[in-house]
Order: sequence, then structure tokens, then C-alpha cells
Amino acid sequence: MNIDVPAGGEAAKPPLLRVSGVTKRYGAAVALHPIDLEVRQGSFTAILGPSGCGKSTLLRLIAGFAEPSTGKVEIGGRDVTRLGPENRPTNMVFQGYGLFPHMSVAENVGFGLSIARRPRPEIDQRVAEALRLVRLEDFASRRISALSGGQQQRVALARALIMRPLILLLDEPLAALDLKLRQAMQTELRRIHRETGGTFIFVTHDQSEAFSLADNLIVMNEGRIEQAGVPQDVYMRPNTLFVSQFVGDTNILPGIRRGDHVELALGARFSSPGRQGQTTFVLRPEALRLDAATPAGSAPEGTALRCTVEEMLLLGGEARVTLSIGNGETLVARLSDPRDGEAFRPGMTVTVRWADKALSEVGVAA
Amino acid sequence: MTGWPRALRRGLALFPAFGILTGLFFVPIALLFAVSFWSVKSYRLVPGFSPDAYARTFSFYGPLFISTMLIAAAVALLCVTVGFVFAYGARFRSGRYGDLFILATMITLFGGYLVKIYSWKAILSANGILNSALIWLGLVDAPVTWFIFNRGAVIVALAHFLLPFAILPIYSALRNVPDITLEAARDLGASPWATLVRVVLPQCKAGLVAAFAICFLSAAGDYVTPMFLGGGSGIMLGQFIVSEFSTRFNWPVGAAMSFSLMGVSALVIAAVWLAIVGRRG
Ligand SMILES: Nc1ncnc2c1ncn2[C@@H]1O[C@H](COP(=O)(O)OP(=O)(O)OP(=O)(O)O)[C@@H](O)[C@H]1O
Ligand SMILES: [Mg+2]
Repeated sequence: MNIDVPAGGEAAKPPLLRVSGVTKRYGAAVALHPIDLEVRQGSFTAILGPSGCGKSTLLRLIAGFAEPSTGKVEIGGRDVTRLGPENRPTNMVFQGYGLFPHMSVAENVGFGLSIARRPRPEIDQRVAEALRLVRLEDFASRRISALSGGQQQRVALARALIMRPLILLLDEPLAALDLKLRQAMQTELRRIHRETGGTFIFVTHDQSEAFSLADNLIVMNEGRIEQAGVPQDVYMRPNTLFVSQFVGDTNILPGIRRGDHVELALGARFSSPGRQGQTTFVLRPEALRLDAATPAGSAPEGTALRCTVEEMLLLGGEARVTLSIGNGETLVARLSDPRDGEAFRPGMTVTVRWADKALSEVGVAA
Repeated sequence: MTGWPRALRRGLALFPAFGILTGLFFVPIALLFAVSFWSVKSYRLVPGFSPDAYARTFSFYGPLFISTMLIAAAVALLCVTVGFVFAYGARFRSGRYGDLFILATMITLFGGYLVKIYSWKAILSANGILNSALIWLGLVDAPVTWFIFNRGAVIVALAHFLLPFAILPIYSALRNVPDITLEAARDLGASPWATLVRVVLPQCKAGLVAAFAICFLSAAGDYVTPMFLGGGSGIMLGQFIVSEFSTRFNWPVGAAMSFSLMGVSALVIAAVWLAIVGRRG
């Protein structure tokens, strides 16, 4: 009775998932402020945000484990807001996996099909297929307790994938794994996403994981979506200070706009029309170029400033240089080749330059 | 510095505990086991090695043996079933108050054992509460006499007394069932019933069998409840073990009955364990 007929005059390809005006409160506490969200068929979406921002809550609302306080969840054009997880075309990979300890790997993976009373040969065949997909063919009869964390992760993945969900939901699927294994599993997840052609939504608080996997990024903070879009766009053009800081490192540059020009507190001036008065720009550390030789002066399409090297850190694959501008302001530059960094010693005077288009305006900082 | 091997020192450290256990538990049992092969001649114990006491146990008391096992099994099944329902409610349906409910059931144990028997007597007897209520409601004209002094009354009273002992191991087993396994089952399409049967019960099998064993053993060895609620002729082996030891002064037969009861009970529990938990593998 809650099933909506898709409206006739809609766009040619409606999104697979549409969340509209969804809120969630626990008593007086608000876990989610109104959320609007669309996910296209075949996408790999990451929900990224700090701990406690409501990522899991949103995922559980999509899965059906919780009902929204207000708003609507539609999957494939059908209103599923009041349906439980057992009646939704979604499956979930839980944060702690939730594998059945009393069953073998194959029994775990085949559980959903056996509940659906599929014939035995079909179950066996699809279990074998799913185990092949996650590369656990040789572990079918193992007990769950005899698996490593990474292997358990794969079983959880196979157990959900075998149901051929319209949307696969993953709650911090790799959080419990060590760095090496996490990277290997990221590669696996990308491959599995490609091979199944499914729609994946995963939750993470690790921005590098979000960037390495997702083609659609949703950044959340305090129960709100701060920004959504293609990961690279979000990185290059953050809408808010929070996004710029949470998604990678950033330099925060307060300034004032007068007429068609902005004057930054650290002493640069460039052309940028917009709202008059106080404003804030952010600048990625890797957008900065350092130069020991050339003198200061306005470079074409950009800014160049004299400054002093305050600190230089070699961090394995990169170098991080802290620069102090005459008036007490500092900038951090990242050099992707650490050998470039070795040329800069603390106390040296250098020229830092950047292209004006590398600056993103995030409004007045709170 | 003493140069004593570690194992020896550890052995000596264990000695007091081991000594107490041996002195207080194994020695009396071993003595009684020896007595079960003795015989009685004109009210005197005669040491020896004869299987007569066991022969008498199984020939003379055979039907009573079966009756006792059936009563104990009924009590244990009742306790495990009701105990599971209760523990399940406390674990999954009571939020943060689950532990409190369990504590409350433990408190009923303070009332003791005889209090429960007497209250059942007060409920079930001819002029008891149940009959008064039935007559007052006009459902019966005369008091119903078959409420008490039979196996049913004994089973009900024993189950009532032993229920907390079943709840405890079941609850602790259920506490170890992770919530997300239930969510995962639901996510994969399982109904609440399917989740119960295929995910919850298999994960707490050991707790269920432990509860069964505790209740079964306690019920099988009981003689007080049938004395008060089971009628004059005696329906449980325990009653006759008491009389063999006391009024008849036939210690060998009493001891043989005790060991037979222990042995058969152990077999029943082992069979239940094998059937339900099975071999680990
Ligand atoms: N059942 C609940 N009752 C009350 N408050 C809750 C409940 N579940 C979540 N919350 C609150 O809602 C907010 C969002 O929680 P949520 O679990 O969605 O965070 P999260 O982004 O997944 O965090 P993490 O990265 O730590 O998993 C938190 O403040 C949390 O305390
Ligand atoms: Mg979470």
C-alpha cells in the first residue's frame, strides 16, 4: 500500500536511489538533519565523514533497519520507506561482519538463498560462483573462526552479493583491516564492482579510501551533507571550510573583497568578482610551487610571494614544507618528490607561487 | 634456588585445594561406592563384592527408575522451554533492563525450596486457591482432587523451583549471540522465526544443554517434592533411596540405587549433549 507508481513525466533515467527530506532523531537528539540524496545505477558511492556524523544512521535508513522520522526513501522508483530490510532490494556488509559462527563459509554465503527456498543445486552453484568472485573457492567448508579478518570480510561480501542486491551497502567494510590488507581489499572491491556491475554505497571515515574507490562522494558533517559530487571536484572545489579540511590538508586564507579584487591577509591580491567584504579561500598544499632562485613579483595567472622556510619534513614519498610569510601568516606546501624538498633548508628565503584558479572560496569562516 | 622443578612446586601449591576436594567429596563417594557392593545380614553391613544390590535396584525398582527419568526429563524440558522464552525476552526485548530481570529471578531463590512446595500445596490442594477460584467462578461443583498428589503436581513444582537455574546459563549463552548476526539474518530475508531457529538457537545450544543438565540432575535426585506433592505411594526413586538408607537400613541397596541414578542420568545428559551439540569439528 506504500508503493508509489513512478510519475509519468520524469526524466528518462530516474536515479536508482532517492532519499528525500529524510531526518532521524533519537528522542531529543537529531542524528540526521533533512537529507536529500540521489544515487545512480552502477555507481560506487562513498559516504565520508567524521565519527558520529550520522553515516551509519543514513546507511541503516537506506537498508531499512531504522525508519526515518520524516522523509522518503525510494529505490528503483518504489517507495520503500516503511519496508524492513528483509523486504528491500538491498543487502548490507556490516561493520563487524556479523557472520554466523555456527556455520561454515559456504553455509554463511548460501544462507540468504536457503531462506528464499531456492533449490539445492542452484544454491550450490551460486555459492561456488560467489566464493570465486571473492577468491575464497578453497575455503568453502572452513569454520568462520578459522578465517583471518580479511577472509571474513570476503565472506561477508559474498554473503551479501549472492543475493544480487540492487544496492550493496557497506558500513566501514575495511576499517578493521591493517593498511596492506586494506589496500588489497580496495583493489578487490573495485574489481568486484566492475565485474558485478552493481551499485555500491559504502561508509568510511578514511578519505583516502573514499578517493581510491568512489566515483561519487558524499561528505557529511553533524548530520548534514556538506557536499556531494565527483571526488576530484569535491577535492579541487570544496564548498565549505569543513570539506576542504576533512578531505585532505588545506591552507586557509582569509581575505577581503573590494570591488572586483580580493586581498588576502597574507599579502596577495587577485581578481575575483563576488560578494563584498570578508571571505575565506582555501588552497591545497600541492598547488604551491617553491623556487629558490627567481625573485618575487606577479606571475602570469597567479601569485608569487617571498617567504622563509620554517620547517621541512620528509614523509617517505613526499616532502612537507612550512613557510612563513613576513606578516606572521604561514603556508604549507607539499612536494610530491621528496628530493625536491631536500633543497630547502629552514631559514632559506624562497619564492612560493600558485595559480589563482587553485583557490576555492568557502565563504566566511566561522 | 631451591632447585625444585617447577611442576613439582606447582603440584605442592595445588595440594591444599586438592586435599580438600578429595577429603570432602571423593572419599565419601568412594566409600559409598564400595558399600554398594556389600550386603546386609541381620541389620549388619557385611563387606564383600556382590552385585545383589544392583540386581535389586533394576529388578525391583525398574519401573520407578523409568518414571523418575521421565519426570526429570519433563521438568528439564519445561524449564529449558520457559527459561529460553524468559531469557530471550530479557536479552532481546528488554533493552538495558535485561540484567535486572535476570537478577529478579535469582532473588526468588532466596525464598527457598520448601516455601515453593508449600505454596503449590496451597494452590493445588482440594481446599486450595485453585479449587476455591473454580468453585467461585461456578466452573466446578465440587473440589477437583486430581490437581495434587500426582506426577503433574511434582513436575510443576519442581519446574517452578528449578526455572532460575535454567534461565542463568541460557541467558549467558544468549548474551554471547551478537546482535549483528540477527540483523544480518534479517537483511538476508529471514523471518523472525527463521532467525530464531537458524541463527539464535544454534548459537546457544551449549547453554540450552547446560540448563537441561542442571535441571535434569536436580529433578532426578529430588525426594522432597514428591513426598509433599506426589501422593502416598511414592513416584520417584529418591524417596526410596531415603527409605532404604533410613527405615530399612539397607545401605548397599541405597548406595546402589544412588550410583545407578547417577550413572543413568549421566548417560541421558551425554546422549542429549551428543544429539544437540554434537562433536566439535
Ligand atoms: N540507537 C541510537 N540511540 C540514540 N542515539 C543514536 C543511536 N544511534 C546513533 N545515535 C546517535 O546518532 C549520531 C550518529 O551516529 P552514527 O552511528 O550514524 O555515526 P557514524 O557517522 O556512523 O559514526 P562512526 O564513524 O563512529 O561509526 C551519533 O551522535 C549517535 O550517538
Ligand atoms: Mg558508523
